[in-house]
Amino acid sequence: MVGWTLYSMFSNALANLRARGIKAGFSFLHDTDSLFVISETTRIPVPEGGFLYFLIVLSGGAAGTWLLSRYARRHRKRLADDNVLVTVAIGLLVIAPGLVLYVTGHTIRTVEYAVPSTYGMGLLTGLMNTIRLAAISVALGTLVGMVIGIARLSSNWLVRTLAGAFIEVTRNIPLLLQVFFWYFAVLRTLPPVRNSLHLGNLLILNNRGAILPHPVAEPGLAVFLASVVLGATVVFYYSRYVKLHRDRTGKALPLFWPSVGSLTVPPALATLWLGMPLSFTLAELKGFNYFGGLTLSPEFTAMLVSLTLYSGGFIAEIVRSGIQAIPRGQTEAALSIGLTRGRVLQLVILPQARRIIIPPLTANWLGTIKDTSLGVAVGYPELVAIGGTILDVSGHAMEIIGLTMFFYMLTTLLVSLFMNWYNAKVQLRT
Amino acid sequence: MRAAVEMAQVGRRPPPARIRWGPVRWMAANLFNSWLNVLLTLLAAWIAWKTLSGLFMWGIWNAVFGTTPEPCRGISGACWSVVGDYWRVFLSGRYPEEERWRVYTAFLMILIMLTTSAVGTVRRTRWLPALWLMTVALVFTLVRGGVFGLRGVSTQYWGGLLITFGLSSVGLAVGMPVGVLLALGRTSNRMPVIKTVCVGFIELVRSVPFIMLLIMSSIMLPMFFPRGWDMDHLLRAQIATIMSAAANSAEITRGGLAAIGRGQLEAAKAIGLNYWKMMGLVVLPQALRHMLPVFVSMFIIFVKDTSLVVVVGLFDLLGAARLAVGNPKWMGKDIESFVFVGLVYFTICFAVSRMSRRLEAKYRVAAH
Repeated sequence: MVGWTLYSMFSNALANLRARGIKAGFSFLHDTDSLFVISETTRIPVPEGGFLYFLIVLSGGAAGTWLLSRYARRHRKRLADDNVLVTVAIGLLVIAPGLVLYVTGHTIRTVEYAVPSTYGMGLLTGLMNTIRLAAISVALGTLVGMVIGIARLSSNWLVRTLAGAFIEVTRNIPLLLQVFFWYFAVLRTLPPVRNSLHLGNLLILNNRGAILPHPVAEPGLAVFLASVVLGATVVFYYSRYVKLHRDRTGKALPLFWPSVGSLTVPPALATLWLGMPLSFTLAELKGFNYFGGLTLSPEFTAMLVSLTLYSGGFIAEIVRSGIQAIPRGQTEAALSIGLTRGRVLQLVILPQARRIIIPPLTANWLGTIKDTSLGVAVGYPELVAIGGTILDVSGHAMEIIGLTMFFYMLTTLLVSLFMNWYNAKVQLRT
Repeated sequence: MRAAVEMAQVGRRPPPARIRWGPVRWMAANLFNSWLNVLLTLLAAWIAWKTLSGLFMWGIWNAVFGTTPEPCRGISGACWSVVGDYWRVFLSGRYPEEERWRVYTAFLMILIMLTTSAVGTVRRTRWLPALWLMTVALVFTLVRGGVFGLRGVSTQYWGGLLITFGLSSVGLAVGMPVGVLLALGRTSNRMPVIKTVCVGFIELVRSVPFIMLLIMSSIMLPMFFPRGWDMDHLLRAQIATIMSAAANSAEITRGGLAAIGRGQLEAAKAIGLNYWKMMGLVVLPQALRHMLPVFVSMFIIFVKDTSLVVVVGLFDLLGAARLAVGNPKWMGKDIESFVFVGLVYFTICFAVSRMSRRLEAKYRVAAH
């Protein structure tokens, strides 16, 4: 019966499409008849030349790492425990693709959506906008959530209460209402360009959005980045050594200051040698608009602010309940063997709380990625919005909705695979 | 020997003096016990003062309460007149003016049912489900009209809090049983085809944003039916909420089922119960009790998520707020309108979440 229902639904759909004169299939994606304008576009690298090499080396590196981990498992080791294997894995995953990008970077060709273009390009642009919004708001939301969650546990009554108020307000008001509030009630009512609100030249607010200084790469950037990578590598191996030394002898070596040193000294030397790696061009008012700054559109800003606050409230609650779930006895036992409060948090509480926090945190990240689709309500051109426009123009409902669903399912799958892997790594091994 | 003497002396010592917690001592211990805390306290106090005093001055002291836009000219506070003028729309959308009493009666009936259901003696009667079914049927007839001399009101005029509550509670009431069936299908190992269908449905619906489901059901659903069938727009949104509720409660139920020990299943089988009796009499009653708080918090999520129906052109509570500021009379009163609607949502969700927390505490005590 289920089969019959599905079959009749499918045949009805095909009959309906035929009646409207629409051919099924994905060929419409590369016909050049996309004539609508997208307000925010991102440059998309074309998979040829340098970018193709980069992709090949990166996927080769991933495959190599996978083989390495299998090899390690066969020899009853864990990849992360063996210094040689870890070095090879880092070489494959980070250094080789980085080198390829450095050598062939100038041959990367990017394309941008411009009318007239193909529907495929339109969808890709929407995808890039979704990814950009999701990545920034997940990162900022996690940061806000961590800070507020820890503030919620503060011994200071006022700080605790304030954090609680923030959590309750952001969690109990629908996200779309928050988006509308920031978009219609705040950002759209800002003054026009002539009377912009200023915070020096650093942040300019007007009804065309928020304008920030635009970072520009200087010649020393490559060396600077290389020195940062060098410092991070040193910290990585040194902290492994410290942990090994502690497990073996029970003595703790200093970790914090050497790490700070190796993370700051090489970049500082590089800066002294080659000058600042980045310079910032400030926006200037020329004629009727600001030029030279990094302009965030009102739609993007409204989405970013509301997603950050909304997911921040939820993550704060996740962090709080994760830390509070650790029994008080753990803290008391750790204090009684003479650890300081900071060490108790670092060595006893956080490693255990991490295990509790990760699964709901993953669910929240996935939720935030899905919530970027609310951009359609204020006209931020993300995947669902552009998909909807193409659907209206071309009538290929099934294909568009199928592609959009495929993207969301793929993202969900990838994120949950990664987080499951990470979760399995930090769980207790029995 | 000496230790014993010391112990005896310790036993004779008076108990330590009790600390009297006056406000000053409390502040010294909780707010000003270190330099960092002093700094934090001052910062937090400044933020709290700025926010609260700003809200008070804007929302109450300098605000205008009325029903016409004229007194709002040139004031620095909020103009609550937009709410005074549009509260009927916030409650029932574009429902015809002279028929609104029917919606209010419906709200009143639901409210009476909710309060009486909370009373223990009523809750224990066997008539309660039947009573609820009757109420729901009565409410639907009253709002829909078309019989008993009531004027028929098409669903396109429904709106406001009416459909916010309607969509979310009907979505949950229909979606939950479907979700339980889906979860049973997913956990069963004897019917691979049904299992695949269930897993496919659950994963598909859960991985797609709710907004996509709404757009899908308002665009794609009509395509699946023979030409000429016209589907009600509210019904399309309702189908999307039911699908989402079913998939999510299936996932919750799976968690609840996993919490039931194998011994229960084996014992039920051993006394000769078949599958449906085993599930219906032994497993599900226990699992559902564990899951109750989760379902309550799912209701909150649904009340919030129904606001997305604005995107497919329905006027729920949030849509009514947009409707109000769309009127030229109230142009630029976005903040007042959104803040008021936000307050309504906050009150509902906060109250229900507190209730869920109490339920959780109650069942945790009962479990141990």
